[in-house]
Amino acid sequence: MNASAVKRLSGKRMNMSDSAIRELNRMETAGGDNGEQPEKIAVIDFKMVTFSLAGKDYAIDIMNVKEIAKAGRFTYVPNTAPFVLGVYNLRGDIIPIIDLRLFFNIPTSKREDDALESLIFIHVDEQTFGIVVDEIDKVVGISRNTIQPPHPIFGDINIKYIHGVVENQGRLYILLDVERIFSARVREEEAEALPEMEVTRAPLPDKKTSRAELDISFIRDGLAALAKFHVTAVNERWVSERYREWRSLRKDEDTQLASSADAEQYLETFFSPDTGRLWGDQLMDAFIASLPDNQAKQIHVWNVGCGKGYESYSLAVALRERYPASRIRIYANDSDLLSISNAPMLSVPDVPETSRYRKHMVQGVNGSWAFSEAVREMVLFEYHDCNNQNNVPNMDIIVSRDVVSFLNPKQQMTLIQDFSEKLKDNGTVYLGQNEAMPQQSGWLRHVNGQIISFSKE
Amino acid sequence: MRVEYINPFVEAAYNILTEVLGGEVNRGELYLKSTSMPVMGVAALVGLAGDVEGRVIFDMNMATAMKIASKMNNEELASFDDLAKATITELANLITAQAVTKLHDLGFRFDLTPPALFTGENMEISDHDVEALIVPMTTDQGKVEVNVAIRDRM
Repeated sequence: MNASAVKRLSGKRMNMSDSAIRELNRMETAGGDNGEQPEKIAVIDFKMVTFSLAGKDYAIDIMNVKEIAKAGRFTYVPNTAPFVLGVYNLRGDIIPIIDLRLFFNIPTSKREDDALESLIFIHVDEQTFGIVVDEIDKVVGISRNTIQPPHPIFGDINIKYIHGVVENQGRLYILLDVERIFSARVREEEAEALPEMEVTRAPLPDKKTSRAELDISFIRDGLAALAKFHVTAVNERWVSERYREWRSLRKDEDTQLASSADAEQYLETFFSPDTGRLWGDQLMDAFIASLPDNQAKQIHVWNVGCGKGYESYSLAVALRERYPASRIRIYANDSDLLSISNAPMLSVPDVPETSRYRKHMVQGVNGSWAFSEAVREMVLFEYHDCNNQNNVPNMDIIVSRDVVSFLNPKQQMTLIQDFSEKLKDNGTVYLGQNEAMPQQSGWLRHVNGQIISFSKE
Repeated sequence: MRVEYINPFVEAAYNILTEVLGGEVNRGELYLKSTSMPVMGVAALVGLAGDVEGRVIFDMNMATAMKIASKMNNEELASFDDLAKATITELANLITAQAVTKLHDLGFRFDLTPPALFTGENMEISDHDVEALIVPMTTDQGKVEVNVAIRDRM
């Protein structure tokens, strides 16, 4: 393209769409290849304010930035999230101040009371926020098409808050998605407002309650809102034990759950062994040893929340080994359509020769291993939500690992009631490793090594 | 609902609607429902019996039903008369029959009852002990919801 054409096109740029500009930039850069400095020809159509947090460079779209300032001694507001430092009076407007380092869980140095902080005032959805950063650098102009999508290894920041990565004069800037960050806050607050009913039902902490109990009650609310994990008699013991670990894990940091990542981290040790894969030998042996004798010709098993089906097939193999003479029928259900639709045809890439699964599996044409017809016929996979009416025959064994805790307290009660109705008198219930039937509710607890099961009184 | 039953109904609904209406047909997100549910205005119900028990309901509003009936008859129908009713009934029959044929090929034995057609305003179906799979389909003529509730006989 010759120079006059570029000029002619440049005149029209005002009413062009982004994609057209990008296309034009591409053409210009290509055209400038024989010129001296091709970068200089690239159009600067995006400006960003750059700053640093814990030594790393970040940037925000200048269109979101109202102004920058240095200020300190914010007015503390009680009962807010830990990353809200307080409010600030900016020429008559009261503006919330958020510490981005706390928000992203980046270690902060201890601040002095009167110290002035570097503030960026940003404007999102007609609201103004002040954010505190380590150091404000400068305004950098770039071409929009040099913004690259974020890569998971960048920064300490949750990837969903990153708009992209930009290179400028040898420095990499992580471009934050301000709208995502602050609108996410709004959504989470809404979500927290929802389980209000439960909050009021929980005994209000009286003045004598210790800090730990108060903390736990906040964590309960956090888990319900962020991870849909509801603390009840089923799992409260684990939650309290985990809280002690959590405190030593967090050390001086705040123990409250500020994001769903925090909630996930809190629940990290909750899940039962071998969740989401075929059960390992250790678990299989322990499970088989814990199964009671049963002479029945037909053994019914209810696998609630079977996910992708690994658990159901593990059960099938274990039960075949324990009850070789009986007919076994496993009713496996899950309300996640994507997971369960592949369960009937589940295959795994490789099975070790020594594995007890090997003799129940056949190798397909593509080299992956699937369960044999005989095992597949034992399991009936259903797309079903256990909160709806459960149409299953009376059961000898119910396996429901880490399912009950993720229902709300009312649904938990209903499902446990259903377990009690559907279980034969000599039947056994297996819950998750860190779950237990509520005490004094008609359930007997049996401990067999590491496996805990329940039966009706 | 058994996982194997889902696809035949989804595929049959998509195939038949595309074939008889000729336009673009889109399938929405599938979900489960177990409450008494309002009917949009025209509902065709086909019962299933055999290895299983259950029913399939095709639910749409009157405007959509008129447009679909007009399109399938290749003429503009003025009122929801016998011809229009028979057309919607036939559509329900076509879709269910194709799904049942597919299931038959997979080794499941189903029988169909003749379709029944319900029309009216402010109707509600309340068999809310039954968990139904909802397959929302969007056509050029409007929205058609396929509501499948089947369970194995114990």
